[in-house]
Amino acid sequence: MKTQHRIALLLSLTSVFIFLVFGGSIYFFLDTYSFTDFYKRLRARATIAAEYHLDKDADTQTYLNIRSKHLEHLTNETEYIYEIARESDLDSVARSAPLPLAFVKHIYRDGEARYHNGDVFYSGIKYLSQGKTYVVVVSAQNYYASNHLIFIRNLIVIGLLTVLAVIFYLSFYFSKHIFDPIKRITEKVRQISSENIHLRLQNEGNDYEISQLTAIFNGLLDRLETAFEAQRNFISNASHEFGTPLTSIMGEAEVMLMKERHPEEYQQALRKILEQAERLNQITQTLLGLARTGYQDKSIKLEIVRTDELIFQAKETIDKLNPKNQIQIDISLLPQNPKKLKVMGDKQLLLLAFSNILTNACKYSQNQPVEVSIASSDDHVYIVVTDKGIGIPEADLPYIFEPFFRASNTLKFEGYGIGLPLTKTIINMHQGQLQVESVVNTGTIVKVRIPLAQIV
Amino acid sequence: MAKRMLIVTDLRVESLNTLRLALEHAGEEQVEIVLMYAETSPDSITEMLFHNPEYRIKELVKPEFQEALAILKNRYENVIRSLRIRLFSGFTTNAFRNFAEGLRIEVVYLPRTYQLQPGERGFDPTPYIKKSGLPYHELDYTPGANSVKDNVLDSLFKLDTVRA
Repeated sequence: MKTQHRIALLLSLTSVFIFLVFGGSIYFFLDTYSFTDFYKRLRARATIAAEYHLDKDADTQTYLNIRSKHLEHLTNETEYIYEIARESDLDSVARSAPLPLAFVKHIYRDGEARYHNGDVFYSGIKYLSQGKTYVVVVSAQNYYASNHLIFIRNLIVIGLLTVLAVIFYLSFYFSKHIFDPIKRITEKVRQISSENIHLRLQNEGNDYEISQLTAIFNGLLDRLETAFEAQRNFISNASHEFGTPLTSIMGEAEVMLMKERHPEEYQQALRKILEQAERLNQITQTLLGLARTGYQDKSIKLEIVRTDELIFQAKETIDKLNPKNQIQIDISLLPQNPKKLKVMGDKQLLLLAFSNILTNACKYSQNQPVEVSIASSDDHVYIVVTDKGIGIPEADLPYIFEPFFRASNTLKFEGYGIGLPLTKTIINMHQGQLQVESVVNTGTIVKVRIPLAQIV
Repeated sequence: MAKRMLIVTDLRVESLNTLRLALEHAGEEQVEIVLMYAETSPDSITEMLFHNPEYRIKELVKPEFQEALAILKNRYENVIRSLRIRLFSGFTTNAFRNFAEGLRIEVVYLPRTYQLQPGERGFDPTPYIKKSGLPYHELDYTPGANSVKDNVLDSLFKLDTVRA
């Protein structure tokens, strides 16, 4: 069942239920009330009749006057007065009058009773006058019950039907139109495929939820488009990266084979070939590392690692390879409690990640000062690496985490474009975040955020 | 006895540098910190009716600010006895004096060069503080010397500071 129909049905069934209860209870209570009221009126008339018929000292004429003046004449109003000497008289009363025996007995026993047969209502009392016992019954047709109640019942039924029709119509109408924008979005999204991923959804300005949904969809499409492009670039970048050393190997070999040469020349050529092959090997190794970290998420060994120690170790490693580096570790925000520096992680991988970031910072700033700050809040360790290097052009920023991608201003620097993607994967494996902000020729800020280990 | 200090903030991460420098300034002394954000009280009746300074602060404080505050709390764990954020919505020097007296503030720290950038209804309470007669220190730091974006956590990290 469509959500739209479900909502409409739910809405209308709830309203139907509420209206049925409403109409039904109005009818029920009116019905009960009219009965009680009518019996009360009949009983009053029975008392009056008994008094002016049976009391000798009553002024009969006055009674009649008052009665005809003030009491409304009821439909088919009839008075029955019987003298009861013994209880056995009740049977003859029941036989001669259209009254059931049980009713008359009831009056005799309890002093009063009520009874109705269809819309004819009876109210009777026992009356004692001058030592004799009488049963006085007044009967009349309940005009109110027979006419007004039916009128009200019809009114309620017709009203109910009209209201229900309106409710059904409105529920279906609204539920249909509430989903209009969603239908439009579905239609539009269906049109978008890998061929025309540049298409975007139109923002429906007046609807907060829907425009949020469109915005989110558009953001998703933006990221997808970037990923698609990166995927396309990956192959060309990778072929280029593998191609360059291969071309120089082939070129070198061809030149050597053109004619007979001296052994030194062969040695020199072979050395060059070896160098290029080594470069190829390095690329393959890093690629393999990337693939491994990318796929074997669960196999990493997690232990408690102190991030500040890792940073110092990474600095030591870089000091050995590149003694001219100027890495400054800023500990002015270091938390006083060392617990706040411990994360769950794979020591070797994290070390690799941090050395990558630091090496990049040194490399692209030509050994200008690089500042590393460590700080930690209650749930995360923050490591911020700031350099004053060449920066990354804004247009290249979305692609820097793609393997083999190199920013347009890095031609002077040696590199394969694998370090940063590897680092990103490692940080992701530790549920961390890696953020890069940069301004060309001003510097780059790399921010790493890793959740703290939960140490009890 | 811990020293009660009042730090003026605009609830941006950068302004927390006042707190950082104030803590440096205080040295080893134990401190109780009140961060003060100045904002006029709402002017619509319904808003006034449901005005609750604590909720309002929760509404105003952004996650980055919270994180930056946590970083500073961790850094100066041994000296910070307590830290809270209070809303000030007075318009006179006397109002500020009462506010400070109620919180038993002993000293106020203000940024000197950093220009507070308070939010929608916020204002800069510096003039009232200076006239209130409470001892105050102005701390100097150059805002966002290196920062690429506004109001990000790392504006805490790099400071070209001239210590007060």
